Amino acid sequence: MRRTLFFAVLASFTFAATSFAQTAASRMAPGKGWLNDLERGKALAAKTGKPLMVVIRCDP
Amino acid sequence: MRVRLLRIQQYDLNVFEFDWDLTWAVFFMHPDGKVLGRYGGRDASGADSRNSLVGLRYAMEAAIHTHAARAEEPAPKARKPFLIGQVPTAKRMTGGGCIHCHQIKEILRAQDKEQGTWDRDKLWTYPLPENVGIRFEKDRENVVETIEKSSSADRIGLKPGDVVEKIHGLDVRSCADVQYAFHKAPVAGEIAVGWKRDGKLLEGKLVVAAGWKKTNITWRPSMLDLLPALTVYGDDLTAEEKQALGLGAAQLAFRQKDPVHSRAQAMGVRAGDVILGVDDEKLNLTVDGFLGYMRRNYLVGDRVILRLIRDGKRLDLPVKLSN
Repeated sequence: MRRTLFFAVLASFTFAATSFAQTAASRMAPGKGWLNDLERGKALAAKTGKPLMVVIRCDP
Repeated sequence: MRVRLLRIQQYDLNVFEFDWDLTWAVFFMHPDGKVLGRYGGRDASGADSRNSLVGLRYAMEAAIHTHAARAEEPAPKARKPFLIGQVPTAKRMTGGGCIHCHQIKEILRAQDKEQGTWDRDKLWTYPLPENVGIRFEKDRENVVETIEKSSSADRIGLKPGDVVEKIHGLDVRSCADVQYAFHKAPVAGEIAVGWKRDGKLLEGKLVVAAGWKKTNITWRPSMLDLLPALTVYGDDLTAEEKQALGLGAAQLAFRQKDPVHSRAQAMGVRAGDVILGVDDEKLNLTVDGFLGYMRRNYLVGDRVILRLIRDGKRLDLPVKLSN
């Protein structure tokens, strides 16, 4: 029981830390069809024959 | 393919070279890393002053066209990446933490100062087209809207409606492209320009003199520490008061209020002094306009002569500007 509780608390902290590491804007990006990985974007662009639009946005 | 980058320190600044004071910038790229075009740019009047959705579409369509035409070209040669985190001053200034775009300029300036390679001209980055007398349309940012009479652009025959295609050998389709090309252009001398009029290609060379890149830097976060704060304040004199002192009605003249800021006291300013400006400039400004003028035209460390009237007599105070 104690062990279950420990892991539950650990999991909630991990989730919270991950959430705080990203701002609302950076979390939203992939959901709107944006990639956050330049190399992946280049690979996909090469595969599809399309150019890339790379937006640099200082995430406060 | 849309990519959004949020942490500049991971990326090669040889590729992502732009006005790092901006909080938002767009690159159109070939998958091999070749930059096809840029979008963004701004001036001191506001973050969106040079941007529009129509303008973005215009630049985007031009990039798609360039991409289609470039498909057969060889990929650009690989270069050693330039990562800002590897600059020694970066580690000291940021402690190895997150680096914001504007800090790139601060880091490079600190490095230049340490190496003795800094000079004042390096402050004037990404000049506006107005510096050579061109105003472009906001929605088609390489189409000339107006040309300032007797400017460098006027002298080479540019006219409203002309479509500027190249500046300093670089393709231009947006304000960001134009500012980048001017940024790369020499600090004095000639700048090659190519434009289209009625389907015909025309060329000319803008002649620019030293100081042509100078622009209003008061919006730039990387330079806030360089902007002087002249700690004088007060009320503008009335037209009658100015006339009594033999001054023009529009001429700058304000009475220093009490209490006087400690730094102004150290400069020698006293309450009741009538301040007329600095150096030999005859300024037609209000007190607020004057304080802004100082931030736009001088830097911390500059030495000026503060002109004033005290007890009916002219007085000049030598001042080293600080912030």
